[in-house]
Amino acid sequence: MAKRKQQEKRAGAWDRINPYVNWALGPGRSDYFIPGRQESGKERMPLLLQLKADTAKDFLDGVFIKRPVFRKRWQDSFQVLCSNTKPRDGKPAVWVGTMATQDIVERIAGPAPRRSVDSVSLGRPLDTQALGTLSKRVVRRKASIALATPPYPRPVVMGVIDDGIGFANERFRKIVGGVIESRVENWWLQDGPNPPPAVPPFTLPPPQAVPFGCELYKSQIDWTLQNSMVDGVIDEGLVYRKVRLIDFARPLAAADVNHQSAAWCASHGTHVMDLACGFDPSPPVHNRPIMCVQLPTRVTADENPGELYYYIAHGITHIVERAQDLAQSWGLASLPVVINVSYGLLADPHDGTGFLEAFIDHKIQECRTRGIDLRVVLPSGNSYLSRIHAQVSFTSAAPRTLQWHVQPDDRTPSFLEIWLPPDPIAIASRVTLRITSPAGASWTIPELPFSTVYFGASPYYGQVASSPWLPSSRTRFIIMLQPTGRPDSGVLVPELAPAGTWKIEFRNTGGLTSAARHIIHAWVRRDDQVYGFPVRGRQSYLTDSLYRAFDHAGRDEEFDNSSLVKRENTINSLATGTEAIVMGGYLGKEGVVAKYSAAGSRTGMPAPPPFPNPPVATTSRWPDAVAVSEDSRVHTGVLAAGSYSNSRVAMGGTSVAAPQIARRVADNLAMGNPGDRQTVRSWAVPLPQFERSGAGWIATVPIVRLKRFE
Amino acid sequence: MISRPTVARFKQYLVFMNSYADLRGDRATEIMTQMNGTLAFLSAIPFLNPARTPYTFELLGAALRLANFAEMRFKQALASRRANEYSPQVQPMILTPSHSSFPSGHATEAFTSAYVLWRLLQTSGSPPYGHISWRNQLMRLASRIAINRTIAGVHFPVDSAAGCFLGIQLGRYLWRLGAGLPNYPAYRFIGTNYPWGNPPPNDGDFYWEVIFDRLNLLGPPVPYIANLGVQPLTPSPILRWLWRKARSEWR
Repeated sequence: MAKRKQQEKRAGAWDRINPYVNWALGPGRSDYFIPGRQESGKERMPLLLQLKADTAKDFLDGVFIKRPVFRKRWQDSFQVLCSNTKPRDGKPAVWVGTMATQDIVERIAGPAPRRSVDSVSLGRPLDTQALGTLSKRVVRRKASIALATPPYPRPVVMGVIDDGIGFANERFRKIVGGVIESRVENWWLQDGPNPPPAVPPFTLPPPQAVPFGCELYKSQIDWTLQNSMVDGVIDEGLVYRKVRLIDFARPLAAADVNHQSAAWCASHGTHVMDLACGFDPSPPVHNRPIMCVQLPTRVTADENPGELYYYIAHGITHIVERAQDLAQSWGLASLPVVINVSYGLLADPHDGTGFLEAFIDHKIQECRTRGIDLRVVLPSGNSYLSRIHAQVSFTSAAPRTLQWHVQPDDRTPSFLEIWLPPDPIAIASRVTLRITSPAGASWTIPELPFSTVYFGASPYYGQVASSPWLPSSRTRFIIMLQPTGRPDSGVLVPELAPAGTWKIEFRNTGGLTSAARHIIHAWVRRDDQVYGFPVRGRQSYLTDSLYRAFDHAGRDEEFDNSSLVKRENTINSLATGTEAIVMGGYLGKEGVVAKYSAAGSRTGMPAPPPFPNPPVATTSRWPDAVAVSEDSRVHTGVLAAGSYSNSRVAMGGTSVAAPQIARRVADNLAMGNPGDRQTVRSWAVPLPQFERSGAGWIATVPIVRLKRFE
Repeated sequence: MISRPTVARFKQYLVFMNSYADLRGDRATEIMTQMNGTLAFLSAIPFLNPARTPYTFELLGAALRLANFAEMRFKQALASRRANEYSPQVQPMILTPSHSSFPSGHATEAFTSAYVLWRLLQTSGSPPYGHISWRNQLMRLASRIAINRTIAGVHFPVDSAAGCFLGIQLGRYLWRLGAGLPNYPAYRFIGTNYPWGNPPPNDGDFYWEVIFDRLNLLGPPVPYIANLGVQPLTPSPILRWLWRKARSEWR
């Protein structure tokens, strides 16, 4: 086997924290900062930081910066999203977000600020038109004096963070005294123009206060509805054009995402929101106000590198704060909030310390200390059969080999993350990887902290970085590859990565046994496209000679064997925290778990009951339960609203299971009950395969009373 | 009277071809079905049936012939390039017809038939047909048919706007002839004044309600539509007869 001369460069300081940032600034720059979308030289990078609470204030004040002008700019660059002083795990944390300029990005990785940082995640950048100016840190609102407590059923705010939310749909309106009003109290278009256009409804009071994008309050939405009527019928297309959710006149760079989700007849966000909080406009529903956040289209389209954590974290914070504003305006002490985020990711540690899962845990705990009931409902993910996860353990001294199939004509980068177990005693290198490309070139990387090995000659078509993961004392290797197919013009990829079978050989160089706590996990980052979006990425996947995709009858095989590629631990990596309610999907008629519904850990878990959080650090929690995600094997999806009023579409996936339970959780909270994970599990009837079905299946009332089958 | 936008403005309108193309996956079946005519869709709204409303069909046939006659001559005279002549990336999903782009034939025919149907229903005197929702639904469908042509890649939104204008005017002309009225209000479409670059509805996209309201003196003035005064109509006894027969089918 031909061997290339290894090239080791001094890894950038960011490799200590997040190698994706190095990738985005280096080889992946033209795909991350697409030319023409932001001012060249002044690009801003969204980052979500988890800071240690004791040094957070020093970090935010920039005490280590000498120059006063830069220090002021540093202070203005960060916004506190969550400050959890009473964490369950005893580690208080402060979460901040920033749209950082390059110099701030470089400074964060400096030795002094780095000490305060637990983790940093990278978000996909926004266009210049949606970027706000650097704004001051949000002033913490004082705890409100105790105001009236309403009788039950009390109002509960339903928050929906999604894409393609047709909020003007009739299902989110109410008719009060013959006048059509919206039930949507707040809508945030995260990639909308900032500052907003100087036309109504944006010019109507109240004024805007969002760090990027634009928002509308109910009064402005009501105005828009009333002013988009033609012959007494609300022209929803006109509404969305006026609020810039749909904008066919917006110029686009060649490589950008040309997709207007709300213009399609079926959109993910509208369907999910209908399941979560859709009601007919008459009789009017007053105590289920809605707050929705429209994620940037590019974030939904194409997540690598740069994910949606930053935007979802901002969205959750925004909804909570606006809900409490609403509570005050209604003379209430607080309002409970249920937020549904029907998004799923594949990589990250899956042990509760990952970016968004930790943020959700901390935010819910912070809200608890503030006297606010916050519940977050997430889908368990659809990747059960997608071959994106492998588990490697050493039963002997022999090395183990995993194959990673990278698709040809994949126009987005591909990433594979390999997570080593936590290391209580610091052994220098427990595992050495040897990566061989389809062309036969190979590179070795030991488990050193923050090292990088580049593939090929400059310009490199890929790299592997070894980087510590401080929140749970693990190490991860991240293999990053450029696209294998030339992207559209405008995105310059200097060198394409070879498509085909990449072999990753794991060699045990110290200390790892076959025990469950020593399992090495590998996950492929998500690379496919959502329904309706143009095809760019092609999902790569893992395999080895033992993996069986189909059983003897040709059906999808739903059980693991001794192959390295596993179906367990494929659960949504956002959903492995302790507080979030996680829902899988099942077939309504047949009563079996949907074949794509992802799983938590099976290996190393005690037999249930009692229902545990995973006892071992490297195992992933299970979903709490499953709800209907497909009416039957042949009637795919469940019926709920299409984008435009009075349309019905069928959409499936665990994304549609979560909002049905969010609805029930909100009803539960409205009656003064806890509406938490335990409550949800108490509704369930057991099913086999607990790692996928959790406590079992939950019956929900269909939104559309149409019998699709007998 | 119709005048066309400038070549430079057409090039600016290419952005709509790009954005609307995203909806091709969503509207493909409709677009294919609407390629050769739109009457099937419009006849889903009122109770049209060859056995039940034969004269209405005759009248609609006349209306469509009028629309086709007029639009083809406008297209010939205005000689505007199709979108795919400005850029190789438009790549329409259906065959681009051989006649010029501006005004849109589908829009003209759809709005002419929609307007004629509306007036038939409205003047029939039957209670349900007097409600404004009949007009709204017919016009919305005509608008959707026109926009589908932009999604398909064969028309700019301004083509649909001019087609809507022409269709409504022709429909009104036919109605007034059929009703025996002595004149009709004439208007002019000034293509060079069609907007661009402002917030909706002045972003250059096609908004049927703006044009309709302006032509029926219900809405604010717009820079691209100007009055030409009232023009006399030469009476047509045969159209009056056909109109009466058609109208009686709705009583």
